[in-house]
Amino acid sequence: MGRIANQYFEGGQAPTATQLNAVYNSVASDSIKDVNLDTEWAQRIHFSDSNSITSLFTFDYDGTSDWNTTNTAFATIENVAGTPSKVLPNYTTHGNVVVRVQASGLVAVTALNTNDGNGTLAQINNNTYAFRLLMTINGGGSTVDIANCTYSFTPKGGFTTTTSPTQLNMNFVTIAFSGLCTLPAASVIDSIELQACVGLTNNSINIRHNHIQAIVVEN
Amino acid sequence: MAFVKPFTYVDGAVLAATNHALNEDALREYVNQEVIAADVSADTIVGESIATPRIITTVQTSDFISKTLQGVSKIRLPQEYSWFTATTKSDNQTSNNIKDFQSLNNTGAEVIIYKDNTKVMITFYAKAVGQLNSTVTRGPGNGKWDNKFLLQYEKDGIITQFSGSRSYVWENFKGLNGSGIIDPGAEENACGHRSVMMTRMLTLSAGRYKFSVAVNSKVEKGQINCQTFTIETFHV
Repeated sequence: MGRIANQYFEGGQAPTATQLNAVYNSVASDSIKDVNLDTEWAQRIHFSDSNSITSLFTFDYDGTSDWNTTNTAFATIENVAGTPSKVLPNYTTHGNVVVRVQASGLVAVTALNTNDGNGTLAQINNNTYAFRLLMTINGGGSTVDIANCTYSFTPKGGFTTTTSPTQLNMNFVTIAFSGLCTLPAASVIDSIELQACVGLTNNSINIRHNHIQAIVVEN
Repeated sequence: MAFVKPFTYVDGAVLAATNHALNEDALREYVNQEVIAADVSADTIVGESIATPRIITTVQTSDFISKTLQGVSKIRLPQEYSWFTATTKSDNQTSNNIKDFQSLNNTGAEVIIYKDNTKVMITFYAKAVGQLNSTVTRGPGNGKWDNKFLLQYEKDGIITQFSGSRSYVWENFKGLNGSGIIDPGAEENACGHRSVMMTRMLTLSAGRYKFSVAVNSKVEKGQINCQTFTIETFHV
């Protein structure tokens, strides 16, 4: 109802039915436009609790059991059998959304199969382990690597001019990383899981407490 | 609810006052009270339609419609430290059993939660340094020199700690011998300079909460810097 038809009558004038109906028909056939809205009219109370702008999902493993991997392929962390590090939003997007994810955790004891390598490009993997947050969407139709990060076993960088191999692997290191991605309307977010791997087979990491936070922001 | 005109005027018919009032009342109620999503055109609500956030710099709070953001950020002030120290010495300092968690200053913030089941997102990052102890207290024992950090909050005088947020830094010492349950691995800077990072999503009931990060210190002098601590309270 950006514009409502007005009728002006003179004293003693008999209005026609068309004139009288016009103003009401204008409202019935039109819709509210920005000219009808006051500045700052929308307050917190106006927003729905059940159909929120933000939807939040979290996973926490706070215990002291380790999950170990010596594999170069990403696998989902699972400190307790049958309870993988995963959130299951089962969320259908209404419009274009931003998916924000964060993860953190504690890497307990690590072990190098031999050493951290000679620092060349070819041996980066000797000294690295990695994490990622993998999102599965649309009934398993596709996956998205939303966020990932790589750490070194020793204080030496994975790719460095320091060529002497060491075995000075660090234990009880905290990890944390975050990421963003966008999804179109009518996407279904099935799951987001925290995965880990090592760069070189038989290097070993033990993951202890770990956490996932996912925030889906509509609009 | 789209507007429906209760009465349609007809030429030549005597207009009853009640019928005219029906239309007037229906229009008034529609415009004032019964506007629903379907009545609002696409792309109608613009940014200025939503209430302006309140920025309260004295308590480092930004209050938006969708969420409240609080906390501290000292990323650009690397020289500004929050110090910690073992406040109990000798046997207590080396004990695995005696814990003396002290809240680190300049971490955290106080939040007021108005509704039960409100979700908050906590993000804490810091660089932690465990400096070299004096000769007397150096090497307290295998696995007993870990400085443990935990996220905690105080509500109604009761402190709640989250064991799943534990992070560590050790005495920056070359020559660590052996290890206990919490083994730093490599020594010197590799154990004495660590990143402390915590992310946590919590569901809180109504009330006042004072969040901070606390440390059970086993070194005579340690510090964190470059710290950032944010609390996001999601409202809608």
